[in-house]
Amino acid sequence: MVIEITDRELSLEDLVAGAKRPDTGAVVAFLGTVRDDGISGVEVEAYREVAEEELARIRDEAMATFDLKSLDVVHRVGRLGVGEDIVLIVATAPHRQAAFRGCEFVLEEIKRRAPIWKKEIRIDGGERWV
Amino acid sequence: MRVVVRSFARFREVVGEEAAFDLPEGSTLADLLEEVASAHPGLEKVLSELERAGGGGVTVLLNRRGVDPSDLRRTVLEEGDEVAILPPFSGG
Repeated sequence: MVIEITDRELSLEDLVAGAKRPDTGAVVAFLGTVRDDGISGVEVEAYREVAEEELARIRDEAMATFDLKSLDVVHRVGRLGVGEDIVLIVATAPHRQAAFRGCEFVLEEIKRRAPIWKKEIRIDGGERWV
Repeated sequence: MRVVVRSFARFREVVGEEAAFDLPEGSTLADLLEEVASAHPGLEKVLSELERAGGGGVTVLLNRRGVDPSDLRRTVLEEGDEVAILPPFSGG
């Protein structure tokens, strides 16, 4: 299972391919991307060591709560343009309900608990922490 | 004694990524935050309201572990401690 804060481009297909097993009847993948709110992109910053620890804790909680087979979480940092990927979650389970719920739980907990921040870069060059 | 303050996002732009503060022995986390606030008036309101507002989304870590805002006054610092001040998170 993958837990990573990275400045590299991430591949949904690779993660899904790595997560599939004969006993996983359901694979739910979430891809969060930079939305065009009149901005040219975002700058993503993380307290990397603490954020990776927190992502691992969230993963462990989700694995213990839902009937999951695996969970991968990758969050990007650095400068990202509109349409680029920010966060990727892949949850696998024997059945769809657990995979959907596990994936949503992980995303909501990341937003609430992981020390990660986004700064919007406007088209005119202005910047704003969100 | 000397402690290091690590700051992130909007706080980093004010305080810097890492800043050292020299404090008298026996100083608490609350004392440190007052020092940070007086050195950086832009953060005064945020840090002085930390205890009253129950954090207001601001997180304080001591050696990478979260400190409840109500404990700032009774948390005594030691030489070499690392304190992180984190604005409200916006990842995901």
